[in-house]
Amino acid sequence: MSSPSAEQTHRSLRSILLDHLLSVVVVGVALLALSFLVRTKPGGSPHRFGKEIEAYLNIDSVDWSLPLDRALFRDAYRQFHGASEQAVDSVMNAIEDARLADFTDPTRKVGGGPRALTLSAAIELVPMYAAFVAVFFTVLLITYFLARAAAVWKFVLWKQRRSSYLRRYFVALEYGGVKNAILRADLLAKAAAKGFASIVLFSPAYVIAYSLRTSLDTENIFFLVLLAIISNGVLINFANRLYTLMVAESRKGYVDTALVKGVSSGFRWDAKDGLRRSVLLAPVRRSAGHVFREIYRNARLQFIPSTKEHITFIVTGLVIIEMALNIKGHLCYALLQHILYKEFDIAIAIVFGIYLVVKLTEAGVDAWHAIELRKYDNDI
Amino acid sequence: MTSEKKSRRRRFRASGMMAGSKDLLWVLLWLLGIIAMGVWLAFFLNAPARALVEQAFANTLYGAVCVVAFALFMGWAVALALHGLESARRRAPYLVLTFLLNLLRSVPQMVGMLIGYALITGLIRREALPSTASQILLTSVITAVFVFQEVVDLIVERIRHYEHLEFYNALLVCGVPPRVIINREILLKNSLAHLVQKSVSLFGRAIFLICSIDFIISVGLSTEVSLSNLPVTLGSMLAKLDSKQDILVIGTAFTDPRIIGTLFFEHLQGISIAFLIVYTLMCVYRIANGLMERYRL
Amino acid sequence: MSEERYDITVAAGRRVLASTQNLVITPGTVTFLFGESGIGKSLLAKALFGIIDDLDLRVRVNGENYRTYCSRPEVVARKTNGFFMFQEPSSHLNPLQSLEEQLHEGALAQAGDPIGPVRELWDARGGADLERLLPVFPKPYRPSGGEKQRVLAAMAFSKMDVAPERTDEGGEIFVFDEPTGSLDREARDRFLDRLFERFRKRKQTILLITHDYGMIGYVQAHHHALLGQIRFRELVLESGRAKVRDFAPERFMRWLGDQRPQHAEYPKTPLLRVESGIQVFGRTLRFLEGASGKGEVDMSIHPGELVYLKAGSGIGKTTVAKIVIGLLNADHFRMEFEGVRLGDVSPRHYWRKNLWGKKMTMAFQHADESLNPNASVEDTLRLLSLRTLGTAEGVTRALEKVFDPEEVARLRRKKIWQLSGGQKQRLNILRAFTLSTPLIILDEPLNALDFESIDRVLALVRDARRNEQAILLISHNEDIFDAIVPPESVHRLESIATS
Repeated sequence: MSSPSAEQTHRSLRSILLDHLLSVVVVGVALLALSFLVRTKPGGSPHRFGKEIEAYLNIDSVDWSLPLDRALFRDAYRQFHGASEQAVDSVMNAIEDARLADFTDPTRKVGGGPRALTLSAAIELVPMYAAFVAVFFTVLLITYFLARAAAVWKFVLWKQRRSSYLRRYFVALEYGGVKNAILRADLLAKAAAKGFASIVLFSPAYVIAYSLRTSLDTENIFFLVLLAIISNGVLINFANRLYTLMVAESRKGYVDTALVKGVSSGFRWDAKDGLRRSVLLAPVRRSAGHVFREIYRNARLQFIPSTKEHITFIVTGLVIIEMALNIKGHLCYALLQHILYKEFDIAIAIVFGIYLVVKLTEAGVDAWHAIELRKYDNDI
Repeated sequence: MTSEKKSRRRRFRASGMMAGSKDLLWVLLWLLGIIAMGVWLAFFLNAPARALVEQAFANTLYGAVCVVAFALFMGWAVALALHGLESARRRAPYLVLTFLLNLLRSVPQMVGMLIGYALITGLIRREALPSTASQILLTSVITAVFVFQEVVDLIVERIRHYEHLEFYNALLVCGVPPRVIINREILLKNSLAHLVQKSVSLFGRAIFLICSIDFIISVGLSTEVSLSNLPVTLGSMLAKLDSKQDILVIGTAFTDPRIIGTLFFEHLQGISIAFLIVYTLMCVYRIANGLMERYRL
Repeated sequence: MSEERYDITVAAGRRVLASTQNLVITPGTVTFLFGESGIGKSLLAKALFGIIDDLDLRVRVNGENYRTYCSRPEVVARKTNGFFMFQEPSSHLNPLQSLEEQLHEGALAQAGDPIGPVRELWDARGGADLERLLPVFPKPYRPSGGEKQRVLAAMAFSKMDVAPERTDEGGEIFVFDEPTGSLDREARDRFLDRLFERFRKRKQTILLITHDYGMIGYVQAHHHALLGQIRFRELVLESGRAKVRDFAPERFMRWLGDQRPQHAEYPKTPLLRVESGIQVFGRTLRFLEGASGKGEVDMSIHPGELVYLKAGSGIGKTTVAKIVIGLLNADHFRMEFEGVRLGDVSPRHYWRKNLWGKKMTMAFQHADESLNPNASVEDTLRLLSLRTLGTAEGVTRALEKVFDPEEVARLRRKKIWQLSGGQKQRLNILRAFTLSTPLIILDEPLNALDFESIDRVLALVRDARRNEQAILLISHNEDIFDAIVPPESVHRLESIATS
């Protein structure tokens, strides 16, 4: 279960940071070259299709989005011109292209012709970029702390050996009585809530967002952040990684040695030999004298490098949310628009900006990891 | 011991045994869920829409399987190349390869896939990719490029694990060639469970990514005209207007609980697609976890 | 004092991992428990002590459910007052706490001087070394295996020095699981002395699990007076269940007494000559002649000779072996093998192309790691791609060199993980000998073996030597090999800082 940077832990911090810097430079140069290749020429007149096609598109009684109308036109054309299938096909294709161009031809865009990466275009991107960075870091921090708490909670529950709500419900079915009925209802409600939470946490963002669109204003930034945290399976994967590391550590030998030395090892909440619930918020500080502290510290050290993977997942999640939900005024939606309108050089600039954010965060995580490792280094 | 205590204990133990093989349990649950959905749709969804849903589901699964296959192959090849370069002490090529891998690692999957898909649509327009199968294949390759590093990491870690133990050296000094040690002894005989678990988890990731990117591309135009004639998948189907309308109803069910009943009989196109995506993702995740628990990976 | 008899079963799912009907502990005595490794000694001891995690394992003790057993007041008392020193030192120390912190943790904090026992186990010259070691965080190579083991032993001794918390029931039980596997003889003897010193004071119940039969000789010689309170027992596998038998120490002592060093005449030209003064890891390794360790020599091995390389643990015996076999490159070394001069400048692939499996091979220390747990016994040998192993009879003949015929029939298709530790080690050694290379390097060949298996492995060694094969041996079973290897074939290894 070691992360890809198990090797990196032995390299000096300086060489790791240089590595990141080099990546940024290489990617920057490559993208710059690419952007020159695909540079859009500003201005240019709209591409015109044949007069005939234009005429067909403008027929009042034909709604080109309806399959029935298209089929009727096709038959009519064939009858009228006595044309071969191939000729009919090519006319239909031309009409499709013309319709498509309405949406993708940059020259037909409302607001003028295609834009190149000019200074004004760049300046326009700055507030969107700032918003993206702010949202990203907020989501990253909140997800980290939530995932950490969830992992600790799941670990303690595992140690407590409690069966799932459903299993306890079936066991409780054996007995009768009012108190038992209340218990059963409680267990069933908890099982249902857990199931519902699962569904939400696993759902891709657009499923959740579209389910709620009528009852909430889904285009404000708060909703964006909330969605980025709870959907796309981000929280679950993040929490699960730390949980698995803790389970693996709890099986290691030094835990047995600690137990044999008489270190506290109970996992009941708020019991004398157990853990306080505040351990969910501050796992190390609130578990002094308990074997959990060592399990957690060892797991956490391996967990830090794997947060880099989650950085890319969070960005992927944000991209999905902004693009899929057409959140105007946000960076990723702008990216999609620029791709569709073939303003590739602006798109490349945005991609580079996103890459930069990811790289900077990764460098930060590596620095954090190196600092933590240094605490346990033998200097001699 | 009374008989009821005995039967309770037996039932408890049986459920405990099932918990021991959680992965199989969830495979079963997934299949049952899909079949149940299929039967339900046969009764309550019209035939053309049902055909589309089935086609979309099949395409999505096929695409995800291709992603896993490509990722496994690419991961294996690159991991072996890395190990070979390291053992032969060819520092420069090793560093270059590691550098490129790290570069890929930092690219957010969605961004990379978008660029790849842009290239694919260009190819489709130029009619270089005639069949649905070839289109799905190429889109799978693009997706695999952004997830195969996990396979590389896994294989490299397994090799390193055995190199740190005496295992690797012990076989070397018996005259066994390194490629036999790695491929047969380490990977085939001792890492199959790890590779299967990784494949399952990648399968889930692939479904998520494929659905998401298809959704984005389909929704980008907000009309019925598709950007290109990419094969229909669950994601692109979800983006269609009628599907979107369908799942909108879920939201209204919160304010008007009476509608919950109708959810099962009407608006089925969108709801079934949303269900297929979420249910599959959840089951695949639990299967991967179950495998991890069972084999103590 | 009355004996306590335990019937213990440890199972994972339906598979029984360890089981015995008559683990007998006499309170107030020291019980030595011998037997090959991998048959469940550690698991049974852990079950007895009350420290098994019953999440994945099902344990029953004397017919009771494990939770019930563990909550008995006498079991709780024994556990609270006692200690369990686990087998593998490296995985039983926390990498994120300094050694000093770990020596003061938990109940050890109540000891008057937790560092005292550590000092006792370090030799007189190593005082400064010890002070440098205490603030260290345990990593794979620092401290060494022997140092880590002594730290764990010190924790046990520290606990032995603490007055018991609960004096009402049961007393205390101290379990030592292979406590001296990484120690050389001197350190081992020091450990035994300190242990018996504490035992004399308070007569705790001690269970010492080991396969170092040499301890018997030392105890009989130096702690004769306590023999009345010492029990020697052996755990033996009999049709799937382990039985505890009394072990008569005379069996081993008599066998040892029967061993004679085999002197022989060797051809003038050595098969291998390694120049003294190997420079690696910032240190210089020198060979000194004979058991006394006087006079620097080059290490020479002749066809048919068994050369015994001795040194304290952590000095570098395995490093030398790895350099000779080409797995490790030193900063400076020279050797001559079959007339070919090799050294630090030789291309690494020379060994792979010409030597590995053909002219030299090595059997490593831990059979668990050296064998593929998921391969069958047959496959393990077949992998060698030797013509002699191409047929079933060929494989049978090879296996019968270390296994009984009925064992061969039972085991040949079994997977390695299903074998006991002793069976694995026998197969591990067999694999090296089957290659019939002119040079064989053996690293701790008697590791994990029970008394009977030791004999069979030594028989293999004798046959190989008769076949003109040369053997380089590393072992800290000095009691046994000192009786077999003539002094002219013994070399001591010394390590000094490279100037």
